[in-house]
Amino acid sequence: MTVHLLEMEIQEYALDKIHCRKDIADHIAVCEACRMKAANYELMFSVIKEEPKHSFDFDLASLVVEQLPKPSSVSSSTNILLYVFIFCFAGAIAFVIYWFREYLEKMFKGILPIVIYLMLVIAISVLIFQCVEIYRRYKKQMKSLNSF
Amino acid sequence: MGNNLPDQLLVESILRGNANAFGQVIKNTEALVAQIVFKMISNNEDRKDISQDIYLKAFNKLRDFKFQSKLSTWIAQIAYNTCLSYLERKKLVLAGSLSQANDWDDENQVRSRGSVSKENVDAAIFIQRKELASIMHSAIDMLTPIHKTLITLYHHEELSYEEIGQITELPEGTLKSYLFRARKSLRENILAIYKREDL
Ligand SMILES: [Zn+2]
Repeated sequence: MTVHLLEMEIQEYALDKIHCRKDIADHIAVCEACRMKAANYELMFSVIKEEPKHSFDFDLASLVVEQLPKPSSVSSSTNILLYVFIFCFAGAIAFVIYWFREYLEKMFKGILPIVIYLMLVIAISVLIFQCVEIYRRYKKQMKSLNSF
Repeated sequence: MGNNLPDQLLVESILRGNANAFGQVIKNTEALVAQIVFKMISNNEDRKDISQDIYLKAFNKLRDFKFQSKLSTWIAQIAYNTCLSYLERKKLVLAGSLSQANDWDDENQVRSRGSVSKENVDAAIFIQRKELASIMHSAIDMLTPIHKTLITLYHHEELSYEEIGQITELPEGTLKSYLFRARKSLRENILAIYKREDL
């Protein structure tokens, strides 16, 4: 009476015939029944690989992303920092003007009002231009961070 | 899997509040998640809800992800557990699929002898590739949800025992035992369909 391989041993052979135990390979070489069973398993494994893959028929990423909490806490804390900075900056300028008010008064006394206005307009224009440029650069950096 | 950016960069970006980066994570991992969800959940509407639930859970737990596995493996683990909870809630986990772990040992005790056993008659049937391809889907469908998933992860997704172990949180010995049983059941299903349809 022939002692056949265990089902587990046949699977072992079908999964990796090169590295499987020698006694299994030896039995398969001489036993038609076990060889056929192993061949069935091998065929089964290779057909499973060719099964079509499942995919969702809806846009899962969009569905999920729109449900995510908006990062409001991050932007509000950024905004608070920005306001604090502007407040400190304005305070520092006011302090400087107040401290040097006598010098400034003397400095501008001999100058025509039209020249003062002209200087003010130029200074404000340069300031606005710089601010716009900084904001544009910030937007660009945020965009590149969010691009993936 | 089309993962262009390393997991770490994506995770850091999401934690900084970048929702688009999470969209990228979904695109990178949804193929694997779909394999698990489709094998474990049969109802199409439930699949839609569960898949969203999986990613919302992943988003909320992202701070706990410590890069001990690939991000896709970690999300697949959430997918597997979410589907398992759903099946348990619906009482759809077949007790058989979990109690069969000991069959591994039982199999070791019984060697088929002689040439007249039923097993050997089955073995003598040599199925053609084309015939097998036409019945494979139905044969897989007859398996329990867990067996279907394990077969798919190992033979279709070609994941290692280690990766499947991380996804299912099963020890390697138990996992191998489940897979052995799943392959055996699949082969039996194929033979049953083959005989029934007399291909
Ligand atoms: Zn034999």
